[in-house]
Amino acid sequence: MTSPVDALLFLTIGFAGGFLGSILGIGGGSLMTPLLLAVGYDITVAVPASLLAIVGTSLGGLYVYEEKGLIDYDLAVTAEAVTVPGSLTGVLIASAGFKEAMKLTLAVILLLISIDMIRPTKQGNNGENAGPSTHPLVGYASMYLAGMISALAGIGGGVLKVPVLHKLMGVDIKKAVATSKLMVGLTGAAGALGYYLGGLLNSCLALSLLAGSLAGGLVGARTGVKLSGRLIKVLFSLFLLAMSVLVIVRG
Amino acid sequence: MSRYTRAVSRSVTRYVPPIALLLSLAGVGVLCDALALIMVSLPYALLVVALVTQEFKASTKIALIILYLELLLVLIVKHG
Repeated sequence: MTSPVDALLFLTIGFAGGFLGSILGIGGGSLMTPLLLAVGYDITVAVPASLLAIVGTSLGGLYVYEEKGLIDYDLAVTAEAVTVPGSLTGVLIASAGFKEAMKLTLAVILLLISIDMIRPTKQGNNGENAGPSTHPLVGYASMYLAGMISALAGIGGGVLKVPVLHKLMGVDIKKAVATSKLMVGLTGAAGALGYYLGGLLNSCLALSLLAGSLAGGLVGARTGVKLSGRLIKVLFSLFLLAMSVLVIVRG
Repeated sequence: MSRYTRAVSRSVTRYVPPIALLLSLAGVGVLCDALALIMVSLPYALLVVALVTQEFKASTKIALIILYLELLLVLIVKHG
């Protein structure tokens, strides 16, 4: 039976992940997994639970993008056909017991995301963002890697998929975010299913995380519009940096 | 497709958090597993609805079939 303390702790962490994830437009796995590790849970508990919570946050926020017609279903399905095998490769690596590889992957990804977030955006001559270049093959190969990293690190991969869709596959940034929202749910579901079938998903604890992240996502969406984007980015970047160091130190 | 996606998405946001928390606190493993599996199935179920109700490109239909075969492979490998 699940301890109520564990359930409430997962709920709180899920809320924090959903809240910040919603403000920043990501699934929240890159926050939930390190937080679960920081409070002492094993990575084999944290990663599958985070993946299930990501499925919830993906589905929960989907209608907002759907109403605006921003989701490219054709692209999402085609890219997922490449991403899911990557995700399953990650599950197989994780199932083989490579805990250190999982922790290292998570730490490196957090570090890279934190650097990318504080890096100034490239500006065009008119002060607008420089247009994306199109490299579909490199994009699909990157999707496979994104799927593998997602399953290993317990993240939905939105932070990886959005740049790949936008910068390598030439998708408009708003459409990239919306399409990625659907994709992280599909990748997370494949990863969570793999862990469930392998007996590694504690579904009762994971549901607490999912409940918290859905509730946090709603509150975060309302709060996010009132905050300065630059401030959020810097604070979040520093937070990820701290999480990355924490994962390495505790590992 | 969009009508179903919106309905599912809204329902998940409204009803899943309290049910999930209740099941989690009650700690009934079978029910937790059932809800977890429903959640895992939903994104893929939505794609099936999309395949039936929406005009997809032929290449997308093939990609969707490949996606399902991949999931079938997971079931076979993990259970086999």
